[in-house]
Amino acid sequence: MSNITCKKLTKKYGDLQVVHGFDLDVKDEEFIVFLGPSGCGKSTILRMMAGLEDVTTGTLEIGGRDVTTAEPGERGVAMVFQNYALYPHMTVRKNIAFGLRRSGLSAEEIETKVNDVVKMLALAPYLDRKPSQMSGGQQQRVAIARAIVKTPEVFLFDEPLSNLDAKLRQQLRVEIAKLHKQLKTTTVFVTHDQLEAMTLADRIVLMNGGNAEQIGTPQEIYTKPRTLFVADFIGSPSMNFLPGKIDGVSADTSVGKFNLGAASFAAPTSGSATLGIRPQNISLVQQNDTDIALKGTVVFTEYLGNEVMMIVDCNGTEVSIVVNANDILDEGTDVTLFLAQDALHIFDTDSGLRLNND
Amino acid sequence: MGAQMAKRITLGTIAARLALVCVVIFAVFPVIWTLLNSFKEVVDIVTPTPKLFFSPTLENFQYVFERPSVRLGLTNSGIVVFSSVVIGALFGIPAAYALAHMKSRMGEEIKFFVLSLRFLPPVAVAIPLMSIYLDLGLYDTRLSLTLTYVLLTLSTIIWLSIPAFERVPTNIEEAARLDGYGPYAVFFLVALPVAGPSLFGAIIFSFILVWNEFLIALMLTTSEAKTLPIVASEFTLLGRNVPWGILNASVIVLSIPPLIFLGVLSGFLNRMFKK
Ligand SMILES: Nc1ncnc2c1ncn2[C@@H]1O[C@H](COP(=O)(O)OP(=O)(O)OP(=O)(O)O)[C@@H](O)[C@H]1O
Ligand SMILES: [Mg+2]
Repeated sequence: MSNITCKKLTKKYGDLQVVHGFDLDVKDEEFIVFLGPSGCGKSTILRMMAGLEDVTTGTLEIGGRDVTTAEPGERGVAMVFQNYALYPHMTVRKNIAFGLRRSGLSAEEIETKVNDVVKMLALAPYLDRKPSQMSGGQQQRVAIARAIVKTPEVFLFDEPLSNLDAKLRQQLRVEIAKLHKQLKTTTVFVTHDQLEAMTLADRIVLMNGGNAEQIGTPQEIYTKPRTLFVADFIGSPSMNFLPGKIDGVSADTSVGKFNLGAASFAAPTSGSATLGIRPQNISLVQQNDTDIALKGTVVFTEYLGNEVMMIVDCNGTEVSIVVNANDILDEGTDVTLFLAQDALHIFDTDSGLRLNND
Repeated sequence: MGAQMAKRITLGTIAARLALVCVVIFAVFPVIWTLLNSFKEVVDIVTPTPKLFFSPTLENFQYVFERPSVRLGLTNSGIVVFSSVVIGALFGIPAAYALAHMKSRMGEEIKFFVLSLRFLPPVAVAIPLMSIYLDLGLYDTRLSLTLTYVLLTLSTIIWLSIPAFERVPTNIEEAARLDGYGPYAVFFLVALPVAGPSLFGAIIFSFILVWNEFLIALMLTTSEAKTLPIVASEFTLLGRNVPWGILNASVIVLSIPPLIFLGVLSGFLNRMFKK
C-alpha cells in the first residue's frame, strides 16, 4: 500500500505563502496529475512530497507512514526532473545503478535489476554512453529508468516532457502511461499541458494560486468544472463565457435575452451569472427546440484538419465554435448558432462557482 | 565589387596577422633570449653584437644547481608551496561548496570577506605577521611561511571554486539525495567529480600564485626558509660583474614548474570563458 495523504500542507518562503492548506488523498496505484498555470505551486507541493522542500505546516504521509520531516532518501520516492538531472560524470549504466548502491543489494542483483529496466526502456545501445552524448528524449528515458529501478512506492514527475519536441513528447507520454499500467506504482505527475493531464491522469488536481481548485477525473473536470477558473483553463479552444443576469429561468446577456427553462441550476446569489459553453457544443443546425439561437457573422476561421474553428461576432460578443471541416463558412457569412442547453454551464459571477444541478 | 570586398578583407586580415605577430614577438622574445643566454658563456652574452649562434654550455645550470642556496631555495619552495596549496585545497574546496549552497545574506558577507583577503597589499599583511612570528619564534621558518601562504591559497581557491560548484545543477544533487545519499556522499560522489575540472584549475592557479610570490617571502625569511624567487633575485647582488648566464639559468629553473602548470591552466581558463 503506498497511498499519499497531504493534510493542510502549507509552504512559506519567508513572508511569501505559496501553498495554502493543501489537502489530497492519493490512492494506491493511482496516477495523479497536478495541472495549473505557471507559479501556482505545483512543483513546490511535489518537492515537499519528495522531501526537497521543508513543509511549513501540515503533515504528509506515504504508505501510512508520517514522512513530513523524513529525509528524501527515506521516503521511498523516486523523482524525474524536467531537465533530466542525470549524473553527467557517470555512464548510463552507472546512472541507473547509482540509487541501488545504497540498498544493500549484491552486485549481481543490481546487475539483474539494471538489465531489466534497460530492456523495459530499450536503453541497451546507450549503456556505456555519458549523458552528454545522448538526445534529450534518450536522457529522459534514462532518468525514468533510474527512477523505476529503485522500485519506489511513489513516482514523482516534475514536467518531465516539457523540454522535448512535440513528437517525442507524445511518444514518451504513451510510454509513461504503459509503464504505469505495467508497474502500477502510485504516481504524481506535474504538468501545465492539459493534453498530458487529460490522457495520463486517473484524477487531475487543478491548481490555482497555491490551492486545489478542483480534484476530479478528467471527465469530471471537463464536463463539470467546479469554477469559472477551471472551465476557462481546461478545453481548447477555451470555453465561451457570456456574462449577464439571471432571474428565474430568463437570462439577460450581452448577446441577448433567452429562456433557460431546459437547464437545471441553482439561482446565483446576487443575480449576476456567467453562462459558459464549449465551442464544440455549439452547432450550426438546430438539434432541439430548446436550443438557444444566436445570430451572428463569421469574422475569422482557422482550419484544424478534420475540424474548423470559427469566431462568430454575435452582437459585439465574439463566440468561438468548432465544427466539422466540411461545414466551413467564408468570413463575413451570416449564421445562426444553436447552443444546446444541456451543455450550458452556469456560473455565479461573484463566487465563480458552477450552479448546475448535475 | 565582390572582388574588391574580398581584397579589402584579405588586406585587413594580413594587417591583423602582422600586428599579432609583432605583439607575439615582443612578448616572447625576452623569454627566448633568456633561454638562449642561459646556455651561453658570459663572453657570448656581453658581446656588443648579439649572437644567435654559439656553442652551448651547461655550465650556468651546473653552477646554479651546485649552489647550496639554490638547493635550499628549491626545497623550501617545494615544501612551502606544496603544503600551502594542499591545505588551501583541503579546506577551501569544502568551504566553497558550503558557500555555493548558502543562499542567504550571511553567505554573501562571507564571500565578500574571502575576496577582501585579497584586497590588501601583501606588505600590509607581511609587516604585522613578521612581528607576530618574531614573538612566537617562528620567524624565518617554513611553518610560518606556509601558514601565511595558506591565507593566499585558501582565499584564492575558495573564490575560484564557488562558481564551479554553483554550476553543478541543483537537481543533480537533489537526485542523489533522493537516491539515498547523505550530504557527504553527495559532495564526494556527485558535486566534487562534476565540478572537478574547474576545481583543478583553481588549485593550479593558487599554485602559480604562491610559487611566484616574492614580497611576503622577502619579508618573512632571511636565510633558513628562503624560497627560490628570493634566492634567484640574489644573483643580481653578486657584485658589479653581473653573472648574466647564471642569472638567466636561475630564471629558467624558476619558470619551469609554473610553465608546466600553465599548460594545464590554459585548459581551465578556456573552460571558464566558454561558459
Ligand atoms: N526558493 C523560492 N523562494 C521564493 N519563492 C519561491 C521559491 N521557489 C518557488 N517560489 C515561488 O513559489 C510559487 C510557486 O512556485 P512553483 O515552482 O511551485 O510553481 P509551479 O506551479 O511549479 O510553476 P511552473 O509551472 O512554472 O513550474 C511561485 O510564485 C514562485 O515564485
Ligand atoms: Mg514547476
